Amino acid sequence: MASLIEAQGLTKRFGTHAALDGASFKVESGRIVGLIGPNGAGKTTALKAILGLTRCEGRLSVLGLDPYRDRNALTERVSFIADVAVLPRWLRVSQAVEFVAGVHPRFRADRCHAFLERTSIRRDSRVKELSKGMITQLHLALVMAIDAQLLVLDEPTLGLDILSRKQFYDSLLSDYMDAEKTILVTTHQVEEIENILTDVIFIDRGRIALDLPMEEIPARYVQLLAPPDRAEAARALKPLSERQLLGRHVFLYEGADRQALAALGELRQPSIADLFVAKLKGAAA
Amino acid sequence: MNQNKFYWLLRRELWESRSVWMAPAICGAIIVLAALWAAFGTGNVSVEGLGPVESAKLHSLTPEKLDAVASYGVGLIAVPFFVMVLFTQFFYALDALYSERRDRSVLFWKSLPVSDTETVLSKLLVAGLVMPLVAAAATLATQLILAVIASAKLAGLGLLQGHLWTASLWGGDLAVMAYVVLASALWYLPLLGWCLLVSAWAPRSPVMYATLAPLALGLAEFIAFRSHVVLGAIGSRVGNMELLARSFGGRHHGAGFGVDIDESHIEVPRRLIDAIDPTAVFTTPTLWVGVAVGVGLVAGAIYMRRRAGEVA
Repeated sequence: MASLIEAQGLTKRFGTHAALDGASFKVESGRIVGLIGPNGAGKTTALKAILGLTRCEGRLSVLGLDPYRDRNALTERVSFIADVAVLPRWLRVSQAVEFVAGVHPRFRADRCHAFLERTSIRRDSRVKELSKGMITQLHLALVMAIDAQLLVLDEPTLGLDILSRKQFYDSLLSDYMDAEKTILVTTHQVEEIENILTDVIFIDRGRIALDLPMEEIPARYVQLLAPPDRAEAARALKPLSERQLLGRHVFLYEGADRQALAALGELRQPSIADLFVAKLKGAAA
Repeated sequence: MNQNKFYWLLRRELWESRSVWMAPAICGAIIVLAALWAAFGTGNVSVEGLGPVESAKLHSLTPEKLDAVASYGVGLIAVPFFVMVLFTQFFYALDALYSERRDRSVLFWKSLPVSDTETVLSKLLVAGLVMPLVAAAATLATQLILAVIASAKLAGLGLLQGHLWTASLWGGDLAVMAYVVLASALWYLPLLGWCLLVSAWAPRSPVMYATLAPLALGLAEFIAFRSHVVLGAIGSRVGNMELLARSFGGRHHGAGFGVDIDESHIEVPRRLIDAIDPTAVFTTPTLWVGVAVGVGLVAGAIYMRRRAGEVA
C-alpha cells in the first residue's frame, strides 16, 4: 500500500525566501508523527500544503490525492486543528455540534456529546464565554467525533496550561487513536509529546533534517556524559554536538561504537529535544 | 450541491448575522409604533375633522381610484424596508468573508468538507435573496398591522371599506414585492459581488477598500479624460435610477401616488402592480451586463476565499 502522505521535493517560495526548500518525506498509515522545527522552519507551510491550503512545487500526495487540486474530496477524510483560537467566538457549543453534524458525513454527534459530557462545557455557551482550555476541549471533541483517516494538529495546545495540555494528548491517545488513523502534529513542547510519537520528522530552513521512527533512535543515537578529563577523547570520536552540564561534558553521537563510548563515561538515550538541538546545530555549522 | 449542507450553511449565516432578521423587525416595530401613535396616541391624526369639501372629494373618488389609493398606501410601507435592506446587505457582504479571516475562524470552516464555492454562494444567497425576503416578510406583517389600524381608524368613515381587504390588493402587493426582490437581486448582483470580492481580499477595512477603489478609479478617469463614465455607471447602479425608470416604463415620472383627487378627469389611476413593467426591466441589457460582471466578481471572491488559507 502506498504511504498516506508522500512528499517529494516540496518547495514553496515567498519572494526570495523559501519556506520549503525541496522537502521530501513519507508518513505511513497508523502512525503518530511529530513535525518538529524552529520558528520559520516551514512546519506550518508543510502542513498547509498537506491540507491543500497552499500550492507548492514538487510532488505531494495525501491519501493518493493532490491536496490542492482535490481539496474538496480530501476534506471529508482529513481533519485539522490549526490553532486554539480559530473557533468563531459568536458560535454556541450546541450550534457547533449541529453544524458539523449537518455538513460532515463522517461526524458522529453522539460521540461528540459523549466527549463533551466529560467536560464542564455548557451547550448554550458561546465560544467567547469559554476559557482557552475549554475551547480546545470543544475543538478536540468536534474533531475526535469525525472518523477521519488523517488528523493534522498545528500547535494544538498553544497557550494552554500544563494540565490542559496533558489532558489534550491523553484523550487523543485513549479515545481517538486507532490503527486506522494517522496523526501529524507540530508543537514547541516536544518533551510533552515525545512518548506518544511513533515517528519524528525534523524540519529546518525548509529541508528535512531527520525522518525517523522513534524506535530507531536508541539504536542510532546515544548521549555520552563524560568528565572533563575524558572530553578530548570523546571529541575524537566525532560527536554531533557537545555541551556542558553541571561540570560534565555532554556529547551526542550518531552510529557510534558504544563500547568505546562506554569507557569514557555514562551513556544515555537522548531525548528528542537533545537530538533536535544537536541536529540543527550541526546543520547550522 | 448537497441541499442539506446548504441548509446548514444558511442557518450558520443566520446564527452569526442577527441583523438579517433584527433590522427588518426593528424597522417594522418603529413603523407600527409610529402608526399607533399617529392613530390613537397623542399624535392623534383626525379624519373626522375633514371639512365637507374634502369629505365630498374623497367620497366622490371612483372605486378604481380608491383601489389605487389603497394599493399605493400599502405599497409605500415597503419603501423603508427596502432602503434599509440595501444597507444591511452591503455591510453584511463586506463583512462576510472578512470577519472569518480576521478572527482566523476561516481555518476552522475550511477544516470541514464545505468548498469555497459553497461557502461564498451561501453568503451571496443570504445577502442577495434571504435578506430581501426577510425584509419582504417583515413588510407584509407591517402592512397587515397597519391595515388593521387603518380599518379601525377609518371604520366610522366607511372610506376604504371594500378597498383595503381585497384579494387583488394583497395579491398585487405580494407580486410587486416578489418583483422588487427578484429585479433588485439581479440589479445589485455586481455590487454584492464586488463587496464579497473585497471582503475576501481586503487586508483590513473592507468598507474603505470597497468605496475608495471605485472613487479613485473615477477620479483617475476624470483627470485623464475629463469624463465620468465610471462614476456615472456606479451612481446609477447604486441609486437604482435606471431600474426605477424602467420599472415604471418612464411613463409615470412625477406621478407621485398616481392619484390626484382634484383632477378626476385624468385617466383612471392604476394600482401599483399595474404601474410596474417587468418586461422592460428584464429585457434591458444594462441589467444583464451587470449580472455578467457580478458573476465574474463572485468567481473572484471564490478564488480569493480559496487562497485565504495562505494568508491566515
